[in-house]
Amino acid sequence: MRLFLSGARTQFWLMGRQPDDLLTLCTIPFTVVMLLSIVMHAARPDLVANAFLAPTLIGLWGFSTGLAAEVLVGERWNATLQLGMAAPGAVHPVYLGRISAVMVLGVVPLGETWLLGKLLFGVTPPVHHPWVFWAAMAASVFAMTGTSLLLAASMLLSKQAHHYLNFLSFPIYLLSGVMVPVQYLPEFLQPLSHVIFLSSSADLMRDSMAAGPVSGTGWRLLAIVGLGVAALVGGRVLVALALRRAREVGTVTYA
Amino acid sequence: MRDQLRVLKHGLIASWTMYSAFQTWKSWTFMWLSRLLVQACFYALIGRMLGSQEQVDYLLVGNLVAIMAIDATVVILLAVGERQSGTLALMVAAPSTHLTVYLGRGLVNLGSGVAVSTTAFLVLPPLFDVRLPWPGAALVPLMVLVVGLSCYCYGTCVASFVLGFPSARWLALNMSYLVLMTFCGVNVPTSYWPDWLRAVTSVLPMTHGLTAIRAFIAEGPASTVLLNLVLELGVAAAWLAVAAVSFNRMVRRGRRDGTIEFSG
Repeated sequence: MRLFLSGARTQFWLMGRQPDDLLTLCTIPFTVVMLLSIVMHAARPDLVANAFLAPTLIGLWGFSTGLAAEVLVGERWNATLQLGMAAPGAVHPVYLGRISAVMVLGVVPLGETWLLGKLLFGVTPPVHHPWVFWAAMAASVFAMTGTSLLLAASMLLSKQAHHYLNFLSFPIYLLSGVMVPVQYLPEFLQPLSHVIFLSSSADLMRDSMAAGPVSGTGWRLLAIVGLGVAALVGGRVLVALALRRAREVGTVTYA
Repeated sequence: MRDQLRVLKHGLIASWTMYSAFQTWKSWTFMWLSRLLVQACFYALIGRMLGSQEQVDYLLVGNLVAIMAIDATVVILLAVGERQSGTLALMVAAPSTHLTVYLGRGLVNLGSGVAVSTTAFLVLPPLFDVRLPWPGAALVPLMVLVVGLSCYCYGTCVASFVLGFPSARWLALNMSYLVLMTFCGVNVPTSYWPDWLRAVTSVLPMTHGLTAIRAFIAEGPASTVLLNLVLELGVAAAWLAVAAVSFNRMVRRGRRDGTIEFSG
């Protein structure tokens, strides 16, 4: 736990020194304005909830791919990866702490979206089941932390990793139905969305904002957490494998 | 003029060498092009969710053009990279002008953007039942090129201001193309915005060019199409002129206060 907290503290300190790390917070307002303007211009107030949820979840994903997934390659570029590997303590909790610190900030786009919706468009959607909403948000942040660890480890394994990471933005937004529910996708694509926890998050959060009762809350939360745990375990294994491989093939650091 | 064209040619060769070292045809096709195609699909699907084919048409066409703006404005990163590589001092000392290199630094990426947008125009409209006026629609890539040039000139201008703040280059890039995608008639007509904002969009790239493309696809009057394309070129020229003045000012200031260093 001490190593985890140490990693989190380090990451908060780094983000305070590098405002570029907070790029996602600057791009989210544009996403908010784009999506809200589309539904308001089309006179579809019933879809305002979708336009609020999408930037929130896109922001969470943006922090994951834009910052959390870069933690390990950043260490390699700064030539601190080998120091961490040579240290007597385990490095995994430190990296997980750093990633968790980033993902805590992933909640900020939620407030940003609500604030901009109110200030610029004069709308805020009601949340009829706030406990379900916040539980889904917390589960999503947890699942995103696990996913980020997995992505961060995979970044060490390929020279093309930045291409893959850049690719994994709109395809994920589309498949997970953060704005447009999955049933609007072609049928052959719909099964893919089940393995992306964001699709469960988006569905559950949308339902929690609607007036009707939310069915199967426990199971749906469990699905999000379960996918998060799977990613966390997979990430932990992959970090170990990636660091071992880097040691074996001599790519722990660059010249 | 011939000398400048030779400089431009060598600049393009250098840019292509760097671009192809970073991007292979496979990574361009399967990672970059496909990612941008999915981005356009994301917005077209919103139109489908809104339940109106008119909305699908509007959002798809707007975003098919808008995805090009990302590549066109990458010149911001490249110009800052050029400055950081320490070549400016050598260019200032050379008999040629640094402007040719800086203003031409991202032309390869502009080509990529136009190729992406053209491919998207060929592939996506049939998937969303968006009708294009073939064979006349073959002219759309030329109009996309006009919009691309305009976005590129705007990008060079932003780059000229960001050179002094290299750590803000990613922020500047993202803000630059997002402003265009948000306010210049890509997802909603510019008439949706307040008057003051509409006035701002009229001097931004994409606004007039996209209007021309929409009018052309809707088989509107040729005069509307031509007028808007001319306006788009005018906007491009204005941004390019400001960029050239700004780059020159940077060099004059650098010579005066000794900040033309060999590396950032």
